[in-house]
Amino acid sequence: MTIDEFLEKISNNKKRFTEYNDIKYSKFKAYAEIQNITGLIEAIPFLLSSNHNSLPGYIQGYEPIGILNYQPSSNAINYIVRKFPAVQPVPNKNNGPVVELMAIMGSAGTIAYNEESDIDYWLCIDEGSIDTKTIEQFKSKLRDVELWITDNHNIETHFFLNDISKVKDDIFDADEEDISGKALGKLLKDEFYRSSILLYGKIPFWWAIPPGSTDENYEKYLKVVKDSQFKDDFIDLGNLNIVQKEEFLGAGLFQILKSLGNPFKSILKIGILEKYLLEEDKSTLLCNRLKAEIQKGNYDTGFVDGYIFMFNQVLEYYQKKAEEDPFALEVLKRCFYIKIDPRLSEIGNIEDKKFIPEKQSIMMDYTKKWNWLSAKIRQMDDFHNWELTALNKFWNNISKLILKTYKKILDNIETQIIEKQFTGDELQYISRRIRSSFSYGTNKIKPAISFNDNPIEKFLFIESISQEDGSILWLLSKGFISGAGSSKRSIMHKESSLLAILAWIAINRLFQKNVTRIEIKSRYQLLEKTFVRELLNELTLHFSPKKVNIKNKYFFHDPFPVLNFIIINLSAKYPKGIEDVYYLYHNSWGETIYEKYEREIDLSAILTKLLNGAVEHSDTFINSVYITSPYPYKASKSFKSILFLFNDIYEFFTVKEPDEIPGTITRKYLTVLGGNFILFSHQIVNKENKVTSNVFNTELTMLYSLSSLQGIKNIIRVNPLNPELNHLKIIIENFRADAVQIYYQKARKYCYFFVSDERGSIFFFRKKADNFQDYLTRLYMFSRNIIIQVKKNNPESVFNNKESKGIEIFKLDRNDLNKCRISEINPSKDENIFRHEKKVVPLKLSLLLLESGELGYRFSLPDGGISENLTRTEIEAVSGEMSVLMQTNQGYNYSVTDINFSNLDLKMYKNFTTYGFTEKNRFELLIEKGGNF
Amino acid sequence: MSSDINNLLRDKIPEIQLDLNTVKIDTTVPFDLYDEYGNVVVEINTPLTEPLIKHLKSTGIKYLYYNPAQSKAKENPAGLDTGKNVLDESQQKESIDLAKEVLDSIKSTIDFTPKSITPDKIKKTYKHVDDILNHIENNSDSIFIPFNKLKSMSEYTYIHSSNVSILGALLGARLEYNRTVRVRMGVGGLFHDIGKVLVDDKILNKESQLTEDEFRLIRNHPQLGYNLVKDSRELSTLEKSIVLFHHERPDGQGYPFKYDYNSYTGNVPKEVRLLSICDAYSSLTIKTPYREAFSPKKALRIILNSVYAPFKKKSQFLPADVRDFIRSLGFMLNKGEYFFEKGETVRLSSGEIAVIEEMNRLYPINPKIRMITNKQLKALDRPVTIDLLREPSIFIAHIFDRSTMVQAGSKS
Repeated sequence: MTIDEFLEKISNNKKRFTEYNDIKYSKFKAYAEIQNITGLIEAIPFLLSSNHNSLPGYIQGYEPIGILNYQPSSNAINYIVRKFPAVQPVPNKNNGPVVELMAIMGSAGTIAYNEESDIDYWLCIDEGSIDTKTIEQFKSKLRDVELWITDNHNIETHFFLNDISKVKDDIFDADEEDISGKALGKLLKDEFYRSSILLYGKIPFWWAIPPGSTDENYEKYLKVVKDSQFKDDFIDLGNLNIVQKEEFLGAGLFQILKSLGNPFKSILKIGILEKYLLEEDKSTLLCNRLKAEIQKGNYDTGFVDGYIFMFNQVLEYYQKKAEEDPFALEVLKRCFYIKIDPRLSEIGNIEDKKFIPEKQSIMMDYTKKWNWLSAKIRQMDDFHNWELTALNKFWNNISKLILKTYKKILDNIETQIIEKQFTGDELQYISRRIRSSFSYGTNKIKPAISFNDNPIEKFLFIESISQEDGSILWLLSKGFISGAGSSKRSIMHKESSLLAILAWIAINRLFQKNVTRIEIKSRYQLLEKTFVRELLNELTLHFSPKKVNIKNKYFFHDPFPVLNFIIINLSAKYPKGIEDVYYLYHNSWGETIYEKYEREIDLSAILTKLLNGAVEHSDTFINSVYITSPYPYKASKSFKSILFLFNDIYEFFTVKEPDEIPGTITRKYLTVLGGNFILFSHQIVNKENKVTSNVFNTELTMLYSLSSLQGIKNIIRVNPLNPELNHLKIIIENFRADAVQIYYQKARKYCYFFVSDERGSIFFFRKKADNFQDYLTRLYMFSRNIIIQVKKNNPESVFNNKESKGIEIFKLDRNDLNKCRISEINPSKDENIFRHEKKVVPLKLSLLLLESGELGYRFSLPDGGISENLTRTEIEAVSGEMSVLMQTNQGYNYSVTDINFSNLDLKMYKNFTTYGFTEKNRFELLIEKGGNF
Repeated sequence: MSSDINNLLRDKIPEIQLDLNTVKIDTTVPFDLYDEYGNVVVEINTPLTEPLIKHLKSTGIKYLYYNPAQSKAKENPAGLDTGKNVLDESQQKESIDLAKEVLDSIKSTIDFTPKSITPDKIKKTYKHVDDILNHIENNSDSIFIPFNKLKSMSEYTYIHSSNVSILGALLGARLEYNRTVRVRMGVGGLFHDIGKVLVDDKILNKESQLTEDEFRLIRNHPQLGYNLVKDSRELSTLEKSIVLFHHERPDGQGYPFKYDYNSYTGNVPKEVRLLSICDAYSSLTIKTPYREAFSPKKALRIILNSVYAPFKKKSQFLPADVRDFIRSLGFMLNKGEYFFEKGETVRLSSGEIAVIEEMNRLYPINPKIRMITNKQLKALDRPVTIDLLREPSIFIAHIFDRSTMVQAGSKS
């Protein structure tokens, strides 16, 4: 082929694409007109490419990025003038940086589009030619405009900003993770090429070249075109030819996982996956198949409509296999019909086809082909009113189909292909997740089988009935007008608790305030009905699964809560404290769970779960947690303090320190709940964040557990509303990262010592009041000695800084009302310490590693010798001997004054004072535990 | 953010994870190993021994990480054996071979001048002891049975020197002496009998009774040895003192100087005195073609019975030294068992006879006793129970035994 012939071909393909795109666009516009959003749709590019303080998305000091080839239409101008009188619509600038391609993706312009559908926009820019600040400002504008459209037009709109060169490499804005590598990007590109409608800017060059072109040819063609008259017509978003089966498997499985809550989407996705993996020798992507038809000038609906095109591909595959699995084919057809919801039985006998809307006309063709009788069509049209049994049966069939197909895929794919993509553990998680979506335990709330994007009901009826075994069952019915015109009710769902019913309504978006009338009839439970209605509204607003962002990597771990909703004292009429707590959450696998608790202390279990999720997903408290209660409890101090606690602890574990390097800080949060001390600790295990909680009955046990923190930096926070913790609060607030701080508090029987080390760990020691001066002196000696060791072993230690404070000593006073204050004592000028030190016989503790893996100890004895190696148990056993030695050797005491780590090969013990204090504490406690002190 | 955190984390990504559940025991990684938080847990080239892994797991650490891209590997110390049983037979054989190599090389020279011990040989010895110490320090709770089987008497000096070297280094470690002293005690142990290379093998290996002259020749070996080493630049005063003083004793019957108690305590350094105990222990526990070896228990009892006490005419060791030796190595040598028991009859350093009532671990030679006689060995009407822990100056100076009392010490 000569260059001219080639360019003619390019010109021809360009023309075909433009025609095809125009058809799609006109269909979209037709829907937009019905929806009355033409003005908005045509004005959106104007909103994005302007920056006026009266317009949504205004960013101060931002020089807008334009949109190539966009000029506001009359519809857009009218819309702008009407909505924003202060704004003068001016032509779009094209001389600065521009969006080189703006397109709509997804169901827009297809048979599946309706007024509830989301609209996804793709914007492509050359990031290299625009400064980072401008890009960030643009992104911020996009978010603002998204929100404005949702709020003002009730249309969920998303803008995905892509860098042209990244798209070329199959990396997209929406593709936030790297788990399945490029494969997911390739699938996304396939979807983009076959389902997008180009609005403004250049045509993707891929559309101009023959289907199935190799990457090498793509580049060759591109080079030729760049030197031709078409050089400004195309945008290079990269080629897309084939995807290897194993890559496809990885990416496809994720798509299935994400679509599990949506039955029809799942069936289509898994169907395509099965078709690609089992049918094709080479995975010819759907986009190439489509391009072949379009370049032939075949603008049949089956090709122009991306949704029908995809459905036909799967249908064709199942038809081929109909003999071995007729059941699958039937499920697919029914799902498709219900999804499109054409209501063919309501059309009647319209003779002239041209009066039949396109959607119905297309579906009539299908049902005719499938030989569906009118009774069957009526039955399908009545899907919305199906009884529970029929619904469940249908759901089971869908489940069976998905599981069967999944199994077939796994069985047929060579193991090594799978292993290339996933580890055994990962694959197990995927299987677990898929199975889990079809199994329902008592606490799991099953999603409704809805194909409807607008499921809001006008009338809902909730009632409780007593079952034979005495338990109560809650039924949810909806009201509808029967074919005969009379009002009827049909049971939609049943649950064992009212909250589960309410949650089910919320997650399935059946309720909308001011639209849905709800009636509640309960014979067995006192219910504040107004609160229940209000609760339903709160659930709908704050517990929508749509708020949950599930990432691919979540499927490789046990599920954790992502969106939390807590109701306190739902069924308690006049509660004194906390009498019941309902905990509802959406987890990272897309499941909805509810749990019931009865005591205040149970809040710690809820918090632990919730925090384990929070440290993984890192969403803000306001987005992730909602706590409510009926009045009057909601107005109580107790409720407010719970609200504060949840917020405070959440922020503590999720908000990072400035410049924090992930994984270097351990955090502990201390609070009082139900009269117990609760310590929440954050740990990292196998790079996974874990929050655990421990309950302590006494302050003493809690204080001893505060020690032993492993992070390079440790942060402890106490609930500021708990006066019982004021002493710790004051110590924490006084923390210095370049000192060992000793605090002492004298009481009648005991004296208490706290040590805050350079990493923020806090150690607690309790001694008899008589030993105060001796212990303080020894603690001071110990601190001095360990700092010397750390300085020697760790040149980077803060103690090697000239400004380091070394050791600080504070007297801590705490009165009966828990009011605390501290006053500093200068140890180098303290006569008592100085005098006492002269009398002290030092005890040096030496640590070593025993064969068993535990630490062994030896220590200096009053005769200057050293004990043999002792295990922890043996230390307890020599407690009596220690007591004798103390009686007979004045100045000798088991309180450690120095420590030797040189026999240990564990660097971690030597770099900080932390482990020294831990082992000192342990040794002394073991001796004390021996019973002679 | 302090610089130490940044430094620690600089090496974090990309990193390699070691799962402590699956990592091969004794793996040595030529990089510092970090925990989840970026703490250096194990330093470069430290063998991940079973105890170490168990310990880390017990502290909640499941994985360690290292970053090969940024850490700089150091050379693995040559000859470092990462085996769990450091002092198993094959490893002790290496020590014996070294002793043979060093001592034979002197023997093979004609003139027996100080130049016979080449600096290379000494350096090799230092390195060897250093390696042994690495193992000893990492296996601080294992037992130690010195090599004790001889094929022929000609092997005696090599095996014995090796044993004394290992025991000396081990004792130095247990007493927390600094590393240099530990090594020197080990090297001193290896060289302590160097003077014997100048004594005729026929005398050394003689089966029958030695003549007075022959005894004199043997007793001259510390001085002969000292002459060989005294000018060495590689050996320190400590090793040289070990060679010279290892047969001195507090009762004036030692050699070459026959020090009395005061001269002994004043002139012979503590480390040398301790090595003399190691020397005695090794001699007692080696089985020769001519006599059975004593069991560790028996050998320890003999050593205790050789401790100085005012009532004794003969004594070989000072109480504080015996106490340190027993505290440090007693259990280790005797497979974790006490070498005397409750109910045994003993004589106290103050002269009384007593029966042991209860053992004390921190002061093993100061148990709780029931005194049954006075200092003049007259039976008490009413026995008195005393916890010797409260009287640390009094200790067990002799354990009565049904078998014959054997004077501790080497053949010499």
